[in-house]
Amino acid sequence: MQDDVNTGAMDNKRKLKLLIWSISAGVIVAFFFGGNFLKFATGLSLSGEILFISPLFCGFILGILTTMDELHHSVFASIIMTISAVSLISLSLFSPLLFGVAGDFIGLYYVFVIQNISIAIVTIFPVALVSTIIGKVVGEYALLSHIFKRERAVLRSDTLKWYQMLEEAADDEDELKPIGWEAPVVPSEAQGQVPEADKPAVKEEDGQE
Amino acid sequence: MMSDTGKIKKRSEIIEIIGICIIITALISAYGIYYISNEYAKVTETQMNIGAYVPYGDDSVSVTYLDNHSIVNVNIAVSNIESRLDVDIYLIEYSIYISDEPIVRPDYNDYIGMITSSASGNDILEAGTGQMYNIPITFDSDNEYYSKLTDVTEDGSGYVLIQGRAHYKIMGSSGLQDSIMFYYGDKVSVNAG
Repeated sequence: MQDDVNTGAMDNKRKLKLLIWSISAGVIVAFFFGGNFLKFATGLSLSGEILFISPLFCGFILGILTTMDELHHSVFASIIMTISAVSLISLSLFSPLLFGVAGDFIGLYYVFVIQNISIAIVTIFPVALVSTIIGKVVGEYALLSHIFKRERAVLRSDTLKWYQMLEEAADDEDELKPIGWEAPVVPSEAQGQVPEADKPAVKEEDGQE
Repeated sequence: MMSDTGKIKKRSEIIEIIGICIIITALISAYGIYYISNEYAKVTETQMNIGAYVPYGDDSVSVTYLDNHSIVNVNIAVSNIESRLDVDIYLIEYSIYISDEPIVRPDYNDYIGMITSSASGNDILEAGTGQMYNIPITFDSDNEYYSKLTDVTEDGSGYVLIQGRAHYKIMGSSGLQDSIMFYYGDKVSVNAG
């Protein structure tokens, strides 16, 4: 019971870490995207390539961080990363409204915002997903190869032991059979010898109908 | 020789260190996002609140007759009061139309000239301030519009329309360049030469 509680607590801690790492990766990506989209106002000289490189790199790191987890955790992490990045990019683009310095914007402004958010979604998610999986695979090979080999060897030896034990048990069972014991004969349909008891009962009323 | 448990622990520690690094980078990036948002908000605030206009009054647009030429004095006010960024008004340009009747919209028949002028010594207009720029346009006697100007404004009953644009550059990290339009339409006053 106590072990279950400890395992649950560790699982929750692991999930929390995964969530924090995913959001952190999203924040980093959001900075580069926001800086690129708003470089006309901030003066940051971020090139267009950063839109591809930042989710690629952050996704890769996220993949390495989820090495110990299952594959669906990595996918979940990349989704969380995309959501947090897009949310922060949206906040950056709407910052004049949020800071209360701009009143009513013209429709063209919303076109600019929606266009950039769409670019962010379309760019971040696929790149982050692929790079997370690549990062996870690379992390497994780089960090867990010896552990996996050892676990595989242990599993193999355990399985062999089980087979040996089963064979021994079967041998013992043969030895324990009483003298003159024969296995019960199962009537075969090929010979057409169906016992009377097994024949289906035919009712007379059925024939009348 | 390190045991398996030790190896697993060591590799988990490597992952933890990478995790801490990504969190620290994210904190720095979060400040970066705040900086970007704040700068963008300030630039937008400046763009939306900066204004240029010709104030309505006797001295805003006046014609002065001198020997062999006339000068139309135009005073243009640029306001940067509701802003947190300095701007450089580096160019002001306007077209001037004149007629006996009040002018509703610019018409080529009323056109008498235009001028593109650097603002008074490329002054930096500080945040929270405004400034008046006097940009005169001179008509020599050999100018094709000189007689028209004289005919219309001589008795002080002429009307003027000014349509112009003030170009500015936002000071600071952005260096964004933009412009604002201004219009003026009223009677023109005549000064004694």
